[in-house]
Amino acid sequence: MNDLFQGVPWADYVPDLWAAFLSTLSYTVVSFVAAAVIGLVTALARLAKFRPVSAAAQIYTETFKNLPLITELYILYFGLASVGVNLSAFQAGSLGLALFYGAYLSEIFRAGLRGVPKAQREAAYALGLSSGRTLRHVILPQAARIAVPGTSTMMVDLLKGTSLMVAIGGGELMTQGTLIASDTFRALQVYIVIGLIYLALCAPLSRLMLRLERRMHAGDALSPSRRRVCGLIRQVRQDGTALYASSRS
Amino acid sequence: MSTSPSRPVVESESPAIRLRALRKSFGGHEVLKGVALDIRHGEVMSVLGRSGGGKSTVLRCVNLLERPTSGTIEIDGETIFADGEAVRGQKLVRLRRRVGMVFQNFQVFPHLTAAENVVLPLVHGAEVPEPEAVEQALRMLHRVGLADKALRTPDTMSGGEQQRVAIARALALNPVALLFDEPTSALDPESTREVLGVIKELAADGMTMVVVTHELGFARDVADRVAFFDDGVIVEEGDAQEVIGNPRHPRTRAFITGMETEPHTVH
Repeated sequence: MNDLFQGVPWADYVPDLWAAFLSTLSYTVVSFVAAAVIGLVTALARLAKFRPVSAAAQIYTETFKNLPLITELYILYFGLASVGVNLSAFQAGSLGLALFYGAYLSEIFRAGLRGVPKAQREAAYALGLSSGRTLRHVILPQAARIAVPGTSTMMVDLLKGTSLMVAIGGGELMTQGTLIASDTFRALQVYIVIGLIYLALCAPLSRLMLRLERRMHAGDALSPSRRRVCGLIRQVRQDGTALYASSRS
Repeated sequence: MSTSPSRPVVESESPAIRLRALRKSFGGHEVLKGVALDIRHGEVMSVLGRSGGGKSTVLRCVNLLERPTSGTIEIDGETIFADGEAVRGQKLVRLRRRVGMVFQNFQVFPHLTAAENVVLPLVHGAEVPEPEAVEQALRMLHRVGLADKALRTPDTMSGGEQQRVAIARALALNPVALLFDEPTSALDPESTREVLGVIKELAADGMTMVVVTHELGFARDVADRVAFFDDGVIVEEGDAQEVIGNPRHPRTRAFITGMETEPHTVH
Protein backbone atom coordinates (compact mmCIF):
# COMPACT_ATOMS: atom_id res chain seq x y z
CA MET A 1 0.00 0.00 0.00
CA ASN A 2 2.85 2.39 0.78
CA ASP A 3 4.11 2.14 -2.78
CA LEU A 4 0.81 3.41 -4.14
CA PHE A 5 2.45 6.59 -5.29
CA GLN A 6 5.76 5.02 -6.17
CA GLY A 7 6.66 3.86 -9.60
CA VAL A 8 4.51 6.46 -11.31
CA PRO A 9 6.37 9.69 -12.08
CA TRP A 10 3.26 11.80 -11.43
CA ALA A 11 5.08 15.08 -11.86
CA ASP A 12 5.79 14.17 -15.50
CA TYR A 13 2.13 13.55 -16.13
CA VAL A 14 0.76 16.75 -14.64
CA PRO A 15 0.54 18.62 -17.98
CA ASP A 16 -1.18 15.65 -19.64
CA LEU A 17 -3.58 15.20 -16.73
CA TRP A 18 -4.38 18.91 -16.76
CA ALA A 19 -5.18 18.80 -20.46
CA ALA A 20 -7.33 15.70 -19.90
CA PHE A 21 -9.09 17.39 -17.00
CA LEU A 22 -9.94 20.40 -19.20
CA SER A 23 -11.08 18.03 -21.91
CA THR A 24 -13.46 16.28 -19.48
CA LEU A 25 -14.87 19.69 -18.53
CA SER A 26 -15.28 20.64 -22.19
CA TYR A 27 -17.20 17.46 -22.98
CA THR A 28 -19.37 18.03 -19.93
CA VAL A 29 -20.20 21.68 -20.54
CA VAL A 30 -20.72 21.44 -24.30
CA SER A 31 -22.82 18.29 -24.18
CA PHE A 32 -24.83 19.31 -21.13
CA VAL A 33 -25.81 22.67 -22.63
CA ALA A 34 -26.73 20.96 -25.89
CA ALA A 35 -28.63 18.20 -24.04
CA ALA A 36 -30.57 20.80 -22.03
CA VAL A 37 -31.61 22.64 -25.20
CA ILE A 38 -32.56 19.37 -26.93
CA GLY A 39 -34.37 18.25 -23.78
CA LEU A 40 -36.40 21.45 -23.46
CA VAL A 41 -37.37 21.59 -27.13
CA THR A 42 -38.29 17.90 -27.06
CA ALA A 43 -40.31 18.26 -23.84
CA LEU A 44 -42.28 21.18 -25.32
CA ALA A 45 -42.75 19.25 -28.54
CA ARG A 46 -44.04 16.22 -26.61
CA LEU A 47 -46.75 18.43 -25.12
CA ALA A 48 -47.67 20.01 -28.47
CA LYS A 49 -51.24 19.47 -29.62
CA PHE A 50 -50.12 18.92 -33.23
CA ARG A 51 -49.76 15.16 -33.39
CA PRO A 52 -46.82 14.80 -35.85
CA VAL A 53 -44.68 17.08 -33.66
CA SER A 54 -45.35 15.19 -30.43
CA ALA A 55 -44.93 11.84 -32.22
CA ALA A 56 -41.53 12.85 -33.64
CA ALA A 57 -40.41 13.97 -30.19
CA GLN A 58 -41.54 10.71 -28.69
CA ILE A 59 -39.69 8.65 -31.30
CA TYR A 60 -36.49 10.57 -30.56
CA THR A 61 -36.83 10.10 -26.80
CA GLU A 62 -37.62 6.41 -27.00
CA THR A 63 -34.81 5.73 -29.46
CA PHE A 64 -32.04 7.34 -27.47
CA LYS A 65 -33.32 6.20 -24.09
CA ASN A 66 -33.18 2.61 -25.26
CA LEU A 67 -29.87 2.66 -27.12
CA PRO A 68 -26.64 2.02 -25.17
CA LEU A 69 -24.46 5.13 -25.15
CA ILE A 70 -21.42 3.11 -26.14
CA THR A 71 -23.22 1.73 -29.22
CA GLU A 72 -24.29 5.23 -30.15
CA LEU A 73 -20.69 6.45 -29.84
CA TYR A 74 -19.42 3.66 -32.07
CA ILE A 75 -22.03 4.50 -34.69
CA LEU A 76 -21.17 8.21 -34.62
CA TYR A 77 -17.39 7.78 -34.58
CA PHE A 78 -16.53 4.53 -36.37
CA GLY A 79 -19.79 3.95 -38.21
CA LEU A 80 -20.07 7.37 -39.83
CA ALA A 81 -16.33 7.37 -40.65
CA SER A 82 -16.81 4.17 -42.63
CA VAL A 83 -19.21 6.00 -44.95
CA GLY A 84 -16.99 9.03 -45.24
CA VAL A 85 -18.42 11.27 -42.53
CA ASN A 86 -15.41 11.95 -40.35
CA LEU A 87 -16.24 13.45 -36.98
CA SER A 88 -13.45 14.18 -34.51
CA ALA A 89 -13.59 12.27 -31.23
CA PHE A 90 -14.74 15.46 -29.52
CA GLN A 91 -17.49 16.10 -32.09
CA ALA A 92 -18.74 12.54 -32.07
CA GLY A 93 -18.45 12.25 -28.28
CA SER A 94 -20.23 15.52 -27.51
CA LEU A 95 -22.95 14.79 -30.04
CA GLY A 96 -23.45 11.31 -28.60
CA LEU A 97 -23.66 12.57 -25.03
CA ALA A 98 -26.00 15.42 -26.02
CA LEU A 99 -28.41 13.10 -27.87
CA PHE A 100 -28.34 10.50 -25.11
CA TYR A 101 -28.78 12.85 -22.16
CA GLY A 102 -31.14 15.10 -24.14
CA ALA A 103 -33.55 12.16 -24.25
CA TYR A 104 -33.40 11.70 -20.49
CA LEU A 105 -33.61 15.43 -19.78
CA SER A 106 -36.66 15.74 -22.02
CA GLU A 107 -38.46 13.25 -19.77
CA ILE A 108 -37.45 15.15 -16.65
CA PHE A 109 -38.45 18.49 -18.19
CA ARG A 110 -41.73 17.05 -19.43
CA ALA A 111 -42.57 15.89 -15.91
CA GLY A 112 -41.70 19.40 -14.70
CA LEU A 113 -43.96 21.06 -17.26
CA ARG A 114 -46.82 18.70 -16.49
CA GLY A 115 -46.33 19.27 -12.79
CA VAL A 116 -47.40 22.92 -13.08
CA PRO A 117 -51.17 23.04 -12.45
CA LYS A 118 -53.28 23.95 -15.48
CA ALA A 119 -54.97 26.62 -13.38
CA GLN A 120 -51.68 28.55 -13.19
CA ARG A 121 -51.73 28.95 -16.96
CA GLU A 122 -55.36 30.08 -16.79
CA ALA A 123 -54.57 32.60 -14.09
CA ALA A 124 -51.79 34.03 -16.26
CA TYR A 125 -54.09 34.23 -19.28
CA ALA A 126 -56.78 35.88 -17.14
CA LEU A 127 -54.21 38.56 -16.23
CA GLY A 128 -53.63 39.38 -19.88
CA LEU A 129 -50.35 37.57 -20.44
CA SER A 130 -49.80 36.15 -23.93
CA SER A 131 -49.15 32.43 -24.22
CA GLY A 132 -45.44 33.05 -24.87
CA ARG A 133 -45.06 35.27 -21.80
CA THR A 134 -47.06 32.78 -19.75
CA LEU A 135 -44.68 30.00 -20.73
CA ARG A 136 -41.60 32.12 -20.08
CA HIS A 137 -42.61 33.77 -16.79
CA VAL A 138 -45.13 31.42 -15.19
CA ILE A 139 -44.79 27.87 -16.49
CA LEU A 140 -41.04 27.42 -17.09
CA PRO A 141 -39.84 28.82 -13.74
CA GLN A 142 -42.20 26.51 -11.86
CA ALA A 143 -41.33 23.55 -14.08
CA ALA A 144 -37.65 24.27 -13.41
CA ARG A 145 -38.23 23.99 -9.68
CA ILE A 146 -39.75 20.55 -10.16
CA ALA A 147 -37.05 19.46 -12.62
CA VAL A 148 -33.95 20.55 -10.69
CA PRO A 149 -33.34 17.36 -8.66
CA GLY A 150 -33.60 15.08 -11.70
CA THR A 151 -31.55 17.47 -13.80
CA SER A 152 -28.78 17.53 -11.17
CA THR A 153 -28.60 13.75 -11.17
CA MET A 154 -28.31 13.74 -14.95
CA MET A 155 -25.63 16.44 -14.91
CA VAL A 156 -23.42 14.43 -12.57
CA ASP A 157 -24.17 11.27 -14.53
CA LEU A 158 -23.14 13.02 -17.74
CA LEU A 159 -19.85 14.14 -16.20
CA LYS A 160 -19.09 10.56 -15.23
CA GLY A 161 -20.39 9.42 -18.64
CA THR A 162 -17.61 11.36 -20.38
CA SER A 163 -15.32 8.52 -19.23
CA LEU A 164 -16.91 6.36 -21.95
CA MET A 165 -14.95 8.50 -24.44
CA VAL A 166 -12.12 6.10 -23.64
CA ALA A 167 -13.73 3.85 -26.26
CA ILE A 168 -13.09 6.37 -29.01
CA GLY A 169 -9.84 7.80 -27.61
CA GLY A 170 -11.51 10.99 -26.53
CA GLY A 171 -8.49 12.57 -24.82
CA GLU A 172 -10.29 13.12 -21.53
CA LEU A 173 -9.35 11.85 -18.06
CA MET A 174 -10.16 8.19 -18.53
CA THR A 175 -8.37 8.02 -21.87
CA GLN A 176 -5.36 9.71 -20.28
CA GLY A 177 -5.56 7.19 -17.43
CA THR A 178 -5.24 4.26 -19.82
CA LEU A 179 -2.22 5.89 -21.45
CA ILE A 180 -0.45 6.43 -18.12
CA ALA A 181 -1.35 2.92 -16.95
CA SER A 182 0.10 1.30 -20.07
CA ASP A 183 3.20 3.51 -19.77
CA THR A 184 3.85 2.59 -16.15
CA PHE A 185 2.17 -0.80 -15.62
CA ARG A 186 0.70 0.62 -12.39
CA ALA A 187 -3.00 0.19 -13.22
CA LEU A 188 -4.27 0.15 -9.66
CA GLN A 189 -2.72 3.40 -8.54
CA VAL A 190 -3.35 5.16 -11.83
CA TYR A 191 -7.06 4.34 -11.90
CA ILE A 192 -7.47 5.15 -8.22
CA VAL A 193 -6.00 8.59 -8.88
CA ILE A 194 -8.25 9.05 -11.91
CA GLY A 195 -11.20 7.98 -9.76
CA LEU A 196 -10.29 10.52 -7.11
CA ILE A 197 -10.25 13.27 -9.73
CA TYR A 198 -13.78 12.31 -10.86
CA LEU A 199 -14.88 12.25 -7.23
CA ALA A 200 -13.36 15.67 -6.62
CA LEU A 201 -15.30 17.00 -9.60
CA CYS A 202 -18.65 15.33 -8.99
CA ALA A 203 -19.06 15.67 -5.24
CA PRO A 204 -18.92 19.50 -5.20
CA LEU A 205 -21.13 19.64 -8.28
CA SER A 206 -23.77 17.57 -6.48
CA ARG A 207 -23.53 19.82 -3.45
CA LEU A 208 -23.81 22.93 -5.59
CA MET A 209 -26.93 21.64 -7.33
CA LEU A 210 -28.49 20.74 -3.99
CA ARG A 211 -27.92 24.29 -2.82
CA LEU A 212 -29.47 25.65 -6.01
CA GLU A 213 -32.50 23.40 -5.42
CA ARG A 214 -32.94 24.68 -1.86
CA ARG A 215 -32.65 28.30 -2.93
CA MET A 216 -35.16 27.83 -5.73
CA HIS A 217 -37.64 26.25 -3.35
CA ALA A 218 -37.18 29.09 -0.90
CA GLY A 219 -38.25 31.40 -3.73
CA ASP A 220 -34.94 33.31 -3.71
CA ALA A 221 -34.50 35.73 -6.58
CA LEU A 222 -31.71 34.09 -8.61
CA SER A 223 -32.16 35.61 -12.06
CA PRO A 224 -30.85 39.12 -12.76
CA SER A 225 -34.31 40.35 -13.71
CA ARG A 226 -35.88 39.13 -10.48
CA ARG A 227 -33.02 40.60 -8.46
CA ARG A 228 -33.60 43.93 -10.17
CA VAL A 229 -37.33 43.90 -9.43
CA CYS A 230 -36.84 42.82 -5.81
CA GLY A 231 -34.23 45.57 -5.42
CA LEU A 232 -36.74 48.10 -6.73
CA ILE A 233 -39.37 46.79 -4.33
CA ARG A 234 -37.03 47.23 -1.36
CA GLN A 235 -36.05 50.69 -2.53
CA VAL A 236 -39.63 51.90 -3.05
CA ARG A 237 -40.67 50.45 0.31
CA GLN A 238 -37.86 52.29 2.02
CA ASP A 239 -38.40 55.77 0.66
CA GLY A 240 -41.97 55.43 -0.54
CA THR A 241 -44.23 55.62 2.49
CA ALA A 242 -45.78 58.74 0.95
CA LEU A 243 -46.90 56.42 -1.82
CA TYR A 244 -49.60 54.96 0.37
CA ALA A 245 -50.94 58.17 1.82
CA SER A 246 -53.47 58.90 -0.90
CA SER A 247 -54.57 55.38 -1.74
CA ARG A 248 -56.53 54.56 1.36
CA SER A 249 -59.23 56.56 3.10
CA MET B 1 -73.90 62.72 -8.16
CA SER B 2 -72.72 66.13 -9.24
CA THR B 3 -73.57 65.67 -12.91
CA SER B 4 -76.44 67.53 -14.53
CA PRO B 5 -79.78 66.04 -13.52
CA SER B 6 -81.07 66.05 -17.10
CA ARG B 7 -78.59 63.36 -18.12
CA PRO B 8 -78.88 59.99 -16.41
CA VAL B 9 -75.20 59.07 -16.65
CA VAL B 10 -75.45 55.41 -15.75
CA GLU B 11 -78.27 54.73 -18.20
CA SER B 12 -76.59 56.37 -21.17
CA GLU B 13 -73.27 54.55 -21.11
CA SER B 14 -72.93 50.93 -22.10
CA PRO B 15 -72.90 48.45 -19.22
CA ALA B 16 -69.57 47.12 -17.97
CA ILE B 17 -70.67 43.63 -18.96
CA ARG B 18 -73.56 42.68 -21.22
CA LEU B 19 -74.50 39.06 -21.89
CA ARG B 20 -77.22 38.04 -24.31
CA ALA B 21 -78.57 34.56 -25.07
CA LEU B 22 -75.35 33.03 -23.83
CA ARG B 23 -75.10 29.28 -24.28
CA LYS B 24 -72.31 26.87 -23.49
CA SER B 25 -72.13 23.13 -23.95
CA PHE B 26 -69.43 20.74 -22.85
CA GLY B 27 -69.65 17.79 -25.17
CA GLY B 28 -73.37 17.07 -25.33
CA HIS B 29 -74.07 18.61 -21.94
CA GLU B 30 -75.51 22.12 -21.99
CA VAL B 31 -74.35 24.10 -18.95
CA LEU B 32 -75.65 27.53 -19.97
CA LYS B 33 -79.02 27.61 -21.65
CA GLY B 34 -79.44 31.21 -22.71
CA VAL B 35 -78.22 33.73 -20.14
CA ALA B 36 -78.93 37.46 -20.40
CA LEU B 37 -77.35 39.77 -17.88
CA ASP B 38 -76.25 43.40 -17.62
CA ILE B 39 -73.77 44.59 -15.06
CA ARG B 40 -73.62 48.36 -14.88
CA HIS B 41 -70.52 50.33 -14.02
CA GLY B 42 -70.02 50.57 -10.29
CA GLU B 43 -72.44 47.79 -9.59
CA VAL B 44 -71.80 44.75 -7.41
CA MET B 45 -73.66 41.68 -8.54
CA SER B 46 -73.74 38.50 -6.54
CA VAL B 47 -74.32 35.24 -8.36
CA LEU B 48 -75.98 32.55 -6.30
CA GLY B 49 -77.13 29.01 -6.94
CA ARG B 50 -76.40 25.35 -6.52
CA SER B 51 -73.13 23.87 -7.67
CA GLY B 52 -73.34 22.88 -11.32
CA GLY B 53 -75.90 25.56 -12.05
CA GLY B 54 -73.56 27.38 -14.43
CA LYS B 55 -72.33 30.19 -12.18
CA SER B 56 -68.61 29.62 -12.69
CA THR B 57 -69.05 28.91 -16.38
CA VAL B 58 -70.68 32.31 -16.90
CA LEU B 59 -67.75 34.02 -15.22
CA ARG B 60 -65.23 32.05 -17.25
CA CYS B 61 -67.05 32.98 -20.46
CA VAL B 62 -66.85 36.69 -19.68
CA ASN B 63 -63.04 36.74 -20.08
CA LEU B 64 -63.14 33.94 -22.64
CA LEU B 65 -61.28 31.38 -20.53
CA GLU B 66 -64.23 29.35 -21.72
CA ARG B 67 -65.50 29.81 -25.23
CA PRO B 68 -69.30 30.09 -25.37
CA THR B 69 -71.26 28.02 -27.87
CA SER B 70 -73.45 30.95 -28.93
CA GLY B 71 -74.77 34.31 -27.80
CA THR B 72 -73.05 37.67 -27.40
CA ILE B 73 -70.72 39.21 -24.84
CA GLU B 74 -69.92 42.92 -24.66
CA ILE B 75 -67.37 44.45 -22.33
CA ASP B 76 -67.78 48.20 -21.84
CA GLY B 77 -69.54 48.49 -25.19
CA GLU B 78 -67.03 46.38 -27.11
CA THR B 79 -68.29 43.13 -28.58
CA ILE B 80 -65.87 40.36 -27.73
CA PHE B 81 -68.01 37.41 -28.69
CA ALA B 82 -70.82 37.20 -31.25
CA ASP B 83 -72.03 34.77 -33.90
CA GLY B 84 -69.75 32.07 -32.54
CA GLU B 85 -66.66 34.24 -33.13
CA ALA B 86 -64.46 35.41 -30.27
CA VAL B 87 -61.79 38.11 -30.34
CA ARG B 88 -58.32 36.65 -30.80
CA GLY B 89 -54.64 37.45 -30.46
CA GLN B 90 -53.77 40.92 -29.14
CA LYS B 91 -57.44 41.83 -28.77
CA LEU B 92 -58.06 38.82 -26.55
CA VAL B 93 -55.05 39.59 -24.39
CA ARG B 94 -56.17 43.22 -24.05
CA LEU B 95 -59.70 42.14 -23.16
CA ARG B 96 -58.42 39.93 -20.36
CA ARG B 97 -56.44 42.82 -18.96
CA ARG B 98 -59.68 44.78 -18.72
CA VAL B 99 -61.57 42.05 -16.85
CA GLY B 100 -59.85 40.93 -13.67
CA MET B 101 -60.51 37.49 -12.24
CA VAL B 102 -60.05 36.04 -8.78
CA PHE B 103 -60.15 32.26 -8.43
CA GLN B 104 -61.34 29.95 -5.71
CA ASN B 105 -57.84 28.55 -5.19
CA PHE B 106 -56.08 31.93 -5.47
CA GLN B 107 -53.64 30.83 -8.17
CA VAL B 108 -50.95 33.17 -6.97
CA PHE B 109 -47.63 32.33 -8.62
CA PRO B 110 -45.75 30.28 -6.00
CA HIS B 111 -42.28 31.00 -7.41
CA LEU B 112 -42.61 34.75 -6.91
CA THR B 113 -42.96 37.08 -3.93
CA ALA B 114 -46.29 38.82 -3.26
CA ALA B 115 -45.13 42.06 -4.89
CA GLU B 116 -43.66 40.27 -7.91
CA ASN B 117 -47.01 38.52 -8.39
CA VAL B 118 -48.55 41.95 -8.90
CA VAL B 119 -45.63 43.29 -10.96
CA LEU B 120 -45.51 40.40 -13.45
CA PRO B 121 -48.74 41.11 -15.40
CA LEU B 122 -48.03 44.84 -15.31
CA VAL B 123 -44.55 44.52 -16.81
CA HIS B 124 -44.94 41.51 -19.09
CA GLY B 125 -48.57 41.99 -20.06
CA ALA B 126 -49.44 45.67 -19.89
CA GLU B 127 -45.85 46.77 -20.72
CA VAL B 128 -45.69 49.16 -17.74
CA PRO B 129 -42.08 50.21 -16.99
CA GLU B 130 -40.64 48.36 -13.99
CA PRO B 131 -40.32 51.28 -11.55
CA GLU B 132 -43.93 52.31 -12.09
CA ALA B 133 -45.10 48.71 -11.91
CA VAL B 134 -43.35 48.27 -8.57
CA GLU B 135 -44.96 51.42 -7.18
CA GLN B 136 -48.36 50.31 -8.43
CA ALA B 137 -47.84 46.84 -6.93
CA LEU B 138 -46.97 48.22 -3.51
CA ARG B 139 -49.96 50.57 -3.64
CA MET B 140 -52.24 47.65 -4.41
CA LEU B 141 -50.74 45.46 -1.68
CA HIS B 142 -51.25 48.34 0.73
CA ARG B 143 -54.84 48.59 -0.38
CA VAL B 144 -55.50 44.96 0.54
CA GLY B 145 -53.59 45.35 3.81
CA LEU B 146 -50.44 43.47 2.81
CA ALA B 147 -47.86 46.23 2.44
CA ASP B 148 -45.62 44.55 5.02
CA LYS B 149 -45.68 41.19 3.20
CA ALA B 150 -44.47 42.47 -0.19
CA LEU B 151 -41.37 40.27 -0.22
CA ARG B 152 -42.93 37.13 1.23
CA THR B 153 -43.50 34.08 -0.94
CA PRO B 154 -46.98 32.51 -1.08
CA ASP B 155 -45.97 29.37 0.85
CA THR B 156 -45.35 31.54 3.91
CA MET B 157 -48.74 33.24 3.71
CA SER B 158 -52.21 32.18 4.88
CA GLY B 159 -54.95 31.41 2.39
CA GLY B 160 -56.61 34.72 3.11
CA GLU B 161 -53.36 36.57 2.47
CA GLN B 162 -52.77 34.69 -0.77
CA GLN B 163 -56.28 35.53 -1.92
CA ARG B 164 -55.68 39.20 -1.11
CA VAL B 165 -52.48 39.08 -3.19
CA ALA B 166 -54.60 37.67 -6.02
CA ILE B 167 -57.06 40.55 -5.61
CA ALA B 168 -54.24 43.11 -5.61
CA ARG B 169 -52.80 41.50 -8.72
CA ALA B 170 -56.11 41.73 -10.61
CA LEU B 171 -56.80 45.22 -9.32
CA ALA B 172 -53.41 46.57 -10.40
CA LEU B 173 -54.39 46.36 -14.06
CA ASN B 174 -57.22 48.87 -13.49
CA PRO B 175 -59.89 46.56 -14.87
CA VAL B 176 -63.37 47.60 -15.97
CA ALA B 177 -64.74 44.86 -13.73
CA LEU B 178 -63.52 42.21 -11.33
CA LEU B 179 -64.90 38.67 -11.44
CA PHE B 180 -64.74 36.58 -8.27
CA ASP B 181 -65.24 32.83 -8.60
CA GLU B 182 -66.13 31.61 -5.11
CA PRO B 183 -63.29 33.64 -3.59
CA THR B 184 -63.80 32.34 -0.05
CA SER B 185 -64.80 28.72 -0.62
CA ALA B 186 -61.30 27.46 0.13
CA LEU B 187 -60.81 29.62 3.20
CA ASP B 188 -61.27 29.27 6.96
CA PRO B 189 -63.75 31.65 8.66
CA GLU B 190 -61.12 34.20 9.67
CA SER B 191 -59.57 34.36 6.19
CA THR B 192 -63.09 34.54 4.75
CA ARG B 193 -63.77 37.65 6.85
CA GLU B 194 -60.49 39.25 5.70
CA VAL B 195 -61.22 38.65 2.04
CA LEU B 196 -64.88 39.69 2.22
CA GLY B 197 -63.72 42.81 4.06
CA VAL B 198 -61.46 43.72 1.15
CA ILE B 199 -64.23 43.10 -1.39
CA LYS B 200 -66.55 45.28 0.70
CA GLU B 201 -64.02 48.12 0.64
CA LEU B 202 -63.69 47.79 -3.13
CA ALA B 203 -67.48 47.98 -3.38
CA ALA B 204 -67.45 51.17 -1.34
CA ASP B 205 -64.82 52.57 -3.74
CA GLY B 206 -67.22 51.93 -6.63
CA MET B 207 -65.49 48.91 -8.20
CA THR B 208 -67.65 46.95 -10.61
CA MET B 209 -67.75 43.36 -9.42
CA VAL B 210 -69.43 40.04 -10.10
CA VAL B 211 -69.11 37.71 -7.15
CA VAL B 212 -70.04 34.04 -7.31
CA THR B 213 -70.50 33.12 -3.67
CA HIS B 214 -72.28 30.95 -1.15
CA GLU B 215 -72.08 33.68 1.49
CA LEU B 216 -75.69 34.82 1.69
CA GLY B 217 -75.03 37.44 4.35
CA PHE B 218 -72.31 38.98 2.22
CA ALA B 219 -74.53 38.97 -0.86
CA ARG B 220 -77.33 40.69 1.05
CA ASP B 221 -75.13 43.33 2.67
CA VAL B 222 -72.66 44.15 -0.09
CA ALA B 223 -74.23 43.30 -3.44
CA ASP B 224 -76.57 45.70 -5.21
CA ARG B 225 -78.22 42.92 -7.13
CA VAL B 226 -78.21 39.16 -7.14
CA ALA B 227 -78.79 36.71 -9.93
CA PHE B 228 -79.90 33.25 -8.96
CA PHE B 229 -78.71 30.51 -11.32
CA ASP B 230 -80.27 27.12 -11.64
CA ASP B 231 -79.81 24.53 -14.33
CA GLY B 232 -78.12 26.91 -16.75
CA VAL B 233 -80.56 29.80 -16.58
CA ILE B 234 -81.16 32.80 -14.33
CA VAL B 235 -84.37 31.94 -12.50
CA GLU B 236 -84.52 35.12 -10.46
CA GLU B 237 -82.70 38.41 -10.58
CA GLY B 238 -83.14 41.67 -8.75
CA ASP B 239 -82.32 43.83 -5.76
CA ALA B 240 -80.11 41.85 -3.38
CA GLN B 241 -82.09 42.43 -0.20
CA GLU B 242 -85.36 41.77 -1.94
CA VAL B 243 -84.38 38.51 -3.62
CA ILE B 244 -82.68 37.12 -0.53
CA GLY B 245 -85.25 38.46 1.94
CA ASN B 246 -88.29 37.61 -0.14
CA PRO B 247 -87.48 35.15 -2.92
CA ARG B 248 -90.34 34.61 -5.34
CA HIS B 249 -89.26 31.69 -7.47
CA PRO B 250 -89.76 28.31 -5.73
CA ARG B 251 -86.22 27.18 -6.51
CA THR B 252 -84.70 30.38 -5.13
CA ARG B 253 -86.85 30.01 -2.05
CA ALA B 254 -85.79 26.39 -1.54
CA PHE B 255 -82.13 27.30 -1.98
CA ILE B 256 -82.20 30.25 0.39
CA THR B 257 -84.15 28.49 3.14
CA GLY B 258 -81.79 25.53 2.74
CA MET B 259 -78.77 27.80 3.16
CA GLU B 260 -80.21 29.51 6.22
CA THR B 261 -81.34 26.41 8.12
CA GLU B 262 -78.38 24.16 7.39
CA PRO B 263 -75.32 24.92 9.45
CA HIS B 264 -73.03 26.52 6.90
CA THR B 265 -69.99 24.38 6.47
CA VAL B 266 -66.82 25.84 5.06
CA HIS B 267 -64.75 23.24 3.33
